[in-house]
Amino acid sequence: MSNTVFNRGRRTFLLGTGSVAVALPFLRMFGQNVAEAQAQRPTRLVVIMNPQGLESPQFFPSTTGSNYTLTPVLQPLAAHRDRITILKGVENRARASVFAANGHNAAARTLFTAMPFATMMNADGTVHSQSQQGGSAEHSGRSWGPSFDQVLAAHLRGQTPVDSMALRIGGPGVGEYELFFSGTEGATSPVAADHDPAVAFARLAGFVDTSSDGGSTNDIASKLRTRRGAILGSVAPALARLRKEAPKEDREILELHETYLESLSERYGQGGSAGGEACRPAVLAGGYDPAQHANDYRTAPDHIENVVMAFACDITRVATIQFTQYHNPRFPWLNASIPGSWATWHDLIHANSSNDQSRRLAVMTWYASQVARLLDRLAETPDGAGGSLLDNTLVVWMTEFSNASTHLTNGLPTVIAGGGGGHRGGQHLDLGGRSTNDLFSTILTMCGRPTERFGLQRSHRGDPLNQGLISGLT
Amino acid sequence: MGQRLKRTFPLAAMAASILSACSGDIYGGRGADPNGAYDPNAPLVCEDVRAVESPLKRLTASQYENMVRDLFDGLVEVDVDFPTTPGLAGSGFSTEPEANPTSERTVESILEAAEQVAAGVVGALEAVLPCARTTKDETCALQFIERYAERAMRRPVTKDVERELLAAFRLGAGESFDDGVATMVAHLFARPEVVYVLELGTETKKGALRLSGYEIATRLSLLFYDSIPDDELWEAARTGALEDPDEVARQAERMLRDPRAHQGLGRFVREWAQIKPLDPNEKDAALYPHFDAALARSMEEELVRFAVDVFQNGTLADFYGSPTTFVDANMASFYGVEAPASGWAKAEPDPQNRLGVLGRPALLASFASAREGSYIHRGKFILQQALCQPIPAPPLDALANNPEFPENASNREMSMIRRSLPACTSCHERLDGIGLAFDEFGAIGEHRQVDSKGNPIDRSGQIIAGVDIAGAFDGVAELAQNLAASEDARACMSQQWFRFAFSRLESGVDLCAVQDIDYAFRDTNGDFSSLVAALARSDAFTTRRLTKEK
Repeated sequence: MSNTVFNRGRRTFLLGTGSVAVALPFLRMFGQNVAEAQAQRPTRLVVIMNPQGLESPQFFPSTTGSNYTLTPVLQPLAAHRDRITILKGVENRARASVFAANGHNAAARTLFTAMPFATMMNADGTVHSQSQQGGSAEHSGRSWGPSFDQVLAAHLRGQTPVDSMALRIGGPGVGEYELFFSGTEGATSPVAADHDPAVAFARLAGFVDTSSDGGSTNDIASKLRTRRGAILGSVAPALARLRKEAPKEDREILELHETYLESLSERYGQGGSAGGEACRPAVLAGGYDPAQHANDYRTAPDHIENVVMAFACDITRVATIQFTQYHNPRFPWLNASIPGSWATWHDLIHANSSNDQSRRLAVMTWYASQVARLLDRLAETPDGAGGSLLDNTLVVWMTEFSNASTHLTNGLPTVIAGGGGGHRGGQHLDLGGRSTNDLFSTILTMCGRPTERFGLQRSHRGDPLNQGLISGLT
Repeated sequence: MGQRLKRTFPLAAMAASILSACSGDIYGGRGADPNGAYDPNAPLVCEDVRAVESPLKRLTASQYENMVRDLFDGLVEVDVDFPTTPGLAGSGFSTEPEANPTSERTVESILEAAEQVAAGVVGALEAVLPCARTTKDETCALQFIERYAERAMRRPVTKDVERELLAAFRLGAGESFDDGVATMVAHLFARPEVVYVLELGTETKKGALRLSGYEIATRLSLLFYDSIPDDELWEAARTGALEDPDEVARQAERMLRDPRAHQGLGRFVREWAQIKPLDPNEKDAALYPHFDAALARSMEEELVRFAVDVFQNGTLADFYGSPTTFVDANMASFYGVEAPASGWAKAEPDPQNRLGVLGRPALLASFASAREGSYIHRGKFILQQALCQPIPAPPLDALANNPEFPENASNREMSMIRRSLPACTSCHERLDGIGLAFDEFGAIGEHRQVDSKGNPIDRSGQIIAGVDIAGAFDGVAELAQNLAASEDARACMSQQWFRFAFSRLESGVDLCAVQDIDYAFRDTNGDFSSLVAALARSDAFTTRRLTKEK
């Protein structure tokens, strides 16, 4: 039984009972001409998001240009000062064009799409004031358009085994938690994110090719992948047959299912891509329950290790990392007595008084430290063609509010980091009120997907939201 | 089809209904106002088949888990993570297709779930498949197919399907028999017949399908068990007995009282009450030091036990007005009543103040923040879920313009300040007028005389207009008694069962189907088992309306 693929649960089988580090030395580079692949490799993208804002007065340096002084909150990024641009004056103006029951999720759910979400839309795409439906649909609804990370993922489809990886730190949920959407205008789906680093690891590992290993005896991942490809392939004929038998209204979903079945089957059948010297299994700390908020400080680094592995092995080029504990995170590892005298973090955020600043600052600084950790790891990991992973990556760190207590979405705290797309860094740039539409068009263009317009075309007042690419970043 | 009740309506009512809604056309549909709302006082003239739309549904994660457990008699358990987004369901029910989007990740999650089933089956192989003890060959694989495939797919195994299952077995059998079984099981549980609730039916009338017995059985079992059909139901499907609407109704009444009905009926009440798992971390530990996970779970369990008992044996009047609930040791301690010797037992914790579903702490604590009841959401819950009165979403700048409140202001004081803003008045009058009466219950559903800031409780409430129980009331118990006797609350409950049964919000063309359920409910003084039987017997339940040319 010990040599069967299915004799235990998939996770147990892949990961064993101990640390992931001891799992399998299978993430190696094979096949392709690495130098060639590296030369063609476009910029990678990481979007990292924390919720409930970063209060702008404490976030932004007092002066712009290259001689600014980092605020205490941004101090963790000091080592990467030359690689980052602090962006002032970014506005989520799509948010101002939607009506929502809840000021939080209206801001969050439009943040990366620059689009209203579906319950706020009429059938013709115009925005209406509210949903009259029951349930809690007015709190969520599907975005009218995809988020920019997924636009890039779709653009890069087929070049790596996995289009994109979505990771979350904290609980699941609806509303504010769902920010990333795949698909096309009018037909999007929320991107499901992994909260358990071990599961994310297993999912990535399943795509790694070891077939040219010269017959490794320990080639479990390859076996798993082959078997999965076969199972997916074996289901396809049944789906095709049913699609023809089923009433017309059922066919759209069945067709979609078939399409994904085919693309997955193809990917499992495909080899892994050309990874660099640094392609090796992520070493996860493990040994904690990632469903517990109190472990978020351990989950975040493990997720970062998965991103580094995925980039070093070129399994995917697009990653999102999202902190999801929204209403009542307590950050027990910070020893900052949060939420103090307030009942919840949400209440604290809304308390527009001055004596809570130390708590807010502690949390904001912690988020900055996690961004710094990501940059550290990307910077110290070599990219196959020379340089570091950070040299070929754009990291975008954002949050949905500049002032959470009043739900402000202009002047969004934004940091861009890394050398991808020719980004030069080393400055604090005031854009003086440019839309997220323009920012994401610019980032997509830098990532090798030339984009003139992104998101909602006109605001509710009729003024255009796309005014062209933002200069000064490269 | 001959079971249709013939009713005579006053001429005036008939004329009104012809103008207002379905005018004798099939499905109660064409010519009806698609935006029309159900009005129990405007009888519709409904003839012929009133099939309703039934969009293709995928099993939810819990249905998939229940299926695996029931199919293998508890020998195989899986923990499934399908991407779901409950907030997207307009009906409020998790089975609505909108809440279960199809993505690449979905398809991958289904594969992973199927692999888990395969691993579980191989882990318990000799118990699941006794022939594996002696004959590890294709004949034994065939026995697996015979024994399990039909029930998992909820339809007969055709030659094509058998061939594909055996082919999957052979894919892995080169390695070992266990690998062959694992591959076949993974294939089976990733198949569309397992994963989707297929309703192919046969077209009996243009634009409507008559469901097969197996498909009707599946509707019943998903409704009551949140799982696959049991043996008796399957037998009724196989023999064709379910072609008789009376038999469908009989099965429904039987299943309603089966212990497994806790799964389906429990889902109804949790989703209707919009209960999210109660999290002790979200309550103020200083104010509620004894509110821990065990108490939270007991509260949730109490709500389900209360509601299931009413659905099985009671009426709408009990649902809102019964002083009786169930307690275990945790709940007995919470209520301050005597604990049962073991398990759960009936109790009347506070007949003065706690009546029916509105007196249940799980519901009250769910519409509350860390220290206080959320009067706005409690009011909204009554309007939206108990009376089916939609409330528009707040305007864009509502929160940005939230007024300043004095420290230690009571909920009522805050509400009055907010209502003094002209933009807020009309909605908050309606919402808060009801919700403030709930102030007698705190953030974990405890009954209290003062609020968390020390203000005395004023539990007077008012329903502004639009329903038969509009007017002032004193406290939640009086509201509950009003709901227990309300025609509008009864009609709304019928609408909710329609939404639950068909996994979507009703539209104007569905109103005849809603009326079928509602009149049975009305004519039996709100007896839930009659509602359930009428639902099962209705044309809508055994047919499917098509909207696109085949």
